[in-house]
Amino acid sequence: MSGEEMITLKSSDDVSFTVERSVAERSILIKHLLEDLGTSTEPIPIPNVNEPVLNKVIEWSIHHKNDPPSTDDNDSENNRRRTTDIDEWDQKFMQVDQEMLFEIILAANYLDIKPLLDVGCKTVANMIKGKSPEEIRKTFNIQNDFTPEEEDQIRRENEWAEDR
Amino acid sequence: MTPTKALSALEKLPVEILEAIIVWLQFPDICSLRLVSRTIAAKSVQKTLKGYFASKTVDWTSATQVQELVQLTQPHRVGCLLQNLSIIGTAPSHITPSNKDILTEAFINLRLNSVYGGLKSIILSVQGRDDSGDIIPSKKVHEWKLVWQTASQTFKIACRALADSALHVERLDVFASITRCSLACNKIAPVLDYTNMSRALANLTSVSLSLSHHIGDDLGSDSESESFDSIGHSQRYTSDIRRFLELCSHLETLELHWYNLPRKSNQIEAQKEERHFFNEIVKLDRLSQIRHCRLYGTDTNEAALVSFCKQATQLCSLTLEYIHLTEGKYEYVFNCLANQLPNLDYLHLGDLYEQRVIYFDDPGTARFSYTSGSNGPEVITRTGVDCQHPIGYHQRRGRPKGSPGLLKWTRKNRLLYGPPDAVTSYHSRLSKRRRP
Repeated sequence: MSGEEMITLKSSDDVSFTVERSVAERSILIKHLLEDLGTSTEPIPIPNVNEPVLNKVIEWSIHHKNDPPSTDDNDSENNRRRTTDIDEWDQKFMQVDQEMLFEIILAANYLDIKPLLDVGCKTVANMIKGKSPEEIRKTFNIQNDFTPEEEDQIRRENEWAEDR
Repeated sequence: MTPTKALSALEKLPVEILEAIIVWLQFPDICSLRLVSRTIAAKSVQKTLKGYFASKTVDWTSATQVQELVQLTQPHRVGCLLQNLSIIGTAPSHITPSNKDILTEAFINLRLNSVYGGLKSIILSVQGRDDSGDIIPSKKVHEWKLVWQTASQTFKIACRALADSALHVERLDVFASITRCSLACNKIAPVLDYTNMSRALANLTSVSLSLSHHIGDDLGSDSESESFDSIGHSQRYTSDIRRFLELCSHLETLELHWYNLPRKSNQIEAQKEERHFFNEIVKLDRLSQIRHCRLYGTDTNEAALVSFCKQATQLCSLTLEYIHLTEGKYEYVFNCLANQLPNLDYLHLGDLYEQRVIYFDDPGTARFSYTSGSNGPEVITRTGVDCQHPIGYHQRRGRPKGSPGLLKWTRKNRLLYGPPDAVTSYHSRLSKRRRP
């Protein structure tokens, strides 16, 4: 055991997780909170995230606790669009049902864990890539509520933007 | 009424997360995603997609394209996200009352519905068609007069639409983004005389104009025995350029490019007068507010350039390229640049002529080899405090040795500054060859 300070996080359904401070600090929200609180043994409530999701988030954070800090500020929009490649461990980690996938994305957004949010969003992007609108609807269980006129309108807007 | 449907997890995502997904998608995938459902279509128009709708080229000679612009600039449609509009004319072109009116209608829509309250830029350009009907750039159009005629119509129709709509535009680019296409200086008056441009031009902070000698109205005639060949007319044309710029009362960036049309033996003095249009520009009232100036291809004199430097005291960046000084010396102009412009932070000087091209004393070498001696560079770029340092130069030492580079450079200048050649297309070359 390292002598690292331990932090307790409490999920929305009152389940506590005790983790190393470096794991908890993958979340910028928690990192700032800890900086403001100073040393505290009180469990930190995570009201928006339930036990199974917080468990997954902690699993990801443990695996990535030693990652170098991301140089996100220099990332231009163009650079960001360059690749949706996801490393093997993260790919396996994201092999969950869709409900859990979106829960993880929402939790990563709330907890401000940018790399996890990116992995989640890339996973969804990969599920969209190369698919027709109908195939996307099937994948995400979406009902087509367009009238034919509305659909035609969107199609024309798309063509207009494509032929700039 | 459509019954309320249960939203899927993807549809329920907050817009910022949907946007975080969209940034990883290529445009065709974003298009497919928008076609999935109403909610997704509405939520997907964030930063990424707005970027795709920010710029558009519309051919005003195509009724379909202008009609579409009218449609898509209705309230809440994606055309309201437009920021940079390129208006292109395809030669040969004819203004009809209908295409004039529908362009105005689109501009009115933009004034009323634009999410930005107007446009960042309007860029005017011209293209043509080759023998097989395919679109070609202006520099490849066989008959240059067709390009000039379409350019003047494009200018006219865009100015009218701007004036009639009162659309707010920050930057206007009049043929400065393309080669071998300029606005003939005698085509400004017909717009200014019949259209009240004052409100439309007063909003502009940046103007780029590519201008040329006057042209006749008759495309077929080469005799040029028209009535507009006197110096008096040419003086009026150059004052029209000033009149146009005078209306741009908030101008901060000014780019002027001059393109020479073929010399006419009976119009030598008139053409010379027009080429010296910059001497008229220095009479502008508001030169003191100009912060960025780029000047290409014109003839002028020491007095005009010195006067410009003394008035444009806020100047931050200046480019002078391919400028022929027909009276005086650059020495005094350069003194003014170094001493009168404390804010100057960027200076680019290139291919400046005092009878012959001058060479700078700055480190570097000339573009070509010379028979004797070595010459400094013809082009210099200075930034920061270097702009306030003295600029030394000398005349050519030795003669340039002939080289493929020299020929290429001459051709490039001809493309940029005229006079235009008739471009021989592949088909007409072929048909000529077939002739007995």
